[in-house]
Amino acid sequence: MTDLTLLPLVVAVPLFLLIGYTLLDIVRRADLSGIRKLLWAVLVVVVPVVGTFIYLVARPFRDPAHLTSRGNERTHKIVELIESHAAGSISDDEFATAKNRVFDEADAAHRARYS
Amino acid sequence: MPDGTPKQTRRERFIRKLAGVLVRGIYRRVDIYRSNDIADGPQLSVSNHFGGFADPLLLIYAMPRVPRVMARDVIWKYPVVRSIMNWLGALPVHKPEDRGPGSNDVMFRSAYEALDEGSHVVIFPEGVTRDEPSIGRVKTGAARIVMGARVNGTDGIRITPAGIHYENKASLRSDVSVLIGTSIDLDAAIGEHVADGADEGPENRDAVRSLTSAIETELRRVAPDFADWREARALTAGSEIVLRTLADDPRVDIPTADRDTLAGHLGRKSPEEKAHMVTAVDRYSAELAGLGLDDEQLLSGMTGKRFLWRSLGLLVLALLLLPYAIVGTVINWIPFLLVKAVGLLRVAPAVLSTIKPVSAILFFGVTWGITLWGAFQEWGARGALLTALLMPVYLGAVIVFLETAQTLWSSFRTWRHLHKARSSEDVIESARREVLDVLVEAL
Repeated sequence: MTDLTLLPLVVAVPLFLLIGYTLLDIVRRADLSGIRKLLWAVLVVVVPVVGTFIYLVARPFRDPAHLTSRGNERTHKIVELIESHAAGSISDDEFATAKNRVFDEADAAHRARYS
Repeated sequence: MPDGTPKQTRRERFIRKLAGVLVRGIYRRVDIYRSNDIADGPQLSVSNHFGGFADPLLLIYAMPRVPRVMARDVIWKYPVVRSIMNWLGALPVHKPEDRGPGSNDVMFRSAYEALDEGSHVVIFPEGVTRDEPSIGRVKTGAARIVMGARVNGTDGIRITPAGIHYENKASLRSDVSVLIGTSIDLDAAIGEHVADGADEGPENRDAVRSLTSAIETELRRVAPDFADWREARALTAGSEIVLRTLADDPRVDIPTADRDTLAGHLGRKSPEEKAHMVTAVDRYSAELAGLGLDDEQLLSGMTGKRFLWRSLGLLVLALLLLPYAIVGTVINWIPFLLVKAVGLLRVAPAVLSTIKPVSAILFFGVTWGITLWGAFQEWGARGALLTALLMPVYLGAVIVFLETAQTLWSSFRTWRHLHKARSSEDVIESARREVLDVLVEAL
């Protein structure tokens, strides 16, 4: 890197974004007490490169089930219905009624949206 | 623990974190659906086996407890692999057709011990990887292990089915979903499989067979199980169409886990019903393909104006990312091309699903190691740390840039086809109606 004009763009911008992300993550974490959050944040601010590195390596893994997209209530509702029907906890008639209701609701929602 | 996950040792936390980093690099989207939470105590998970290396990696990622994976003992022959397998706590399985020393007694004993310690063990009961979208013959190993462990004094064993659904297992950056079903409580269920007063151990062949078929039923519930690929693709696409119809906004990402649960349900219908569904979906898909559209684009009714705004947004994102994508490309072009070259090998998809991620980890790992060492020589420890922080950012920039460019290109093609879609609107809408009618009726 002889041309130093590119350095801020290529190094400083992503570094600031990364530090920002790290601080946001520290603030949002539910498993840390306030004092620990503060200590981590101070570390990241005082020694940004070393602090961010240590934090990201030491940060415990968050259960990925939280990341799973859930669609919306109706998409998941039909899957739940199918599962309880398969498990035998609702009868064929109950299933058919509930199923039709879900699709009718969707129909109504679409009509409301596009009319 | 806030989310009720079982306590983990430092080693287990590290393994999960490593698996998380790898999985999120290798796949674009991973959806996990767990119908019951996994508690402490002895547990044997059974999973379908479509991809050799990818399957255990995904299970480590998806399961709240790090599992000890049972794997063929032949892979312990290779020095580095052996150390990794031992560190992961994997258990070797000896297969007679592999010949060489070793016997199954050792495997059973180590599996009993692992369960007795309250470990979580994973087994692929089909024994070998498959390229068909269905469950093969489930072998009796899983049933014999749990029954043997139980008569040896291990109480409270649970057997948990897991199904892994790959969008395209031979390709990196594709989607995958992991469905984890309801556990069988062995102590409660054993009575259904063992005749009164009979031996409750693994020597009782009738009981082993009965339990094996119960395990197979649970596995088929969560794993892909279709007659052939055409059916698998059509029913999966059909399920997505149904769910997209239900969504408030047709542009949402349909959860792949919901989609695959639904497709699995449709796959258990009679062959006649399935043939009917496949025909309807294929007809609609052909109509869409003729216009160069997909279901989401058709449904969201992209207008010229909306197209313009969306493309502009994507273009700005791509331009902002460009400098970092260039840096990322300069660092990563060699491993990137090497992985591409591996993808050209003419081998079975199940083999590719092992060697592609492994070679990606290897090639990118070596490249990053060399880059870090170079940074250390040039700028010292702080410089090396800075490089270590920024390299994932640059690689991420390359990936997001490429994926944005791809979206941009496909929405451009959509836009070119929009007028054609409008003129044949009736045909395509009746094809879609037909899909919905047939599938909803079958649910």
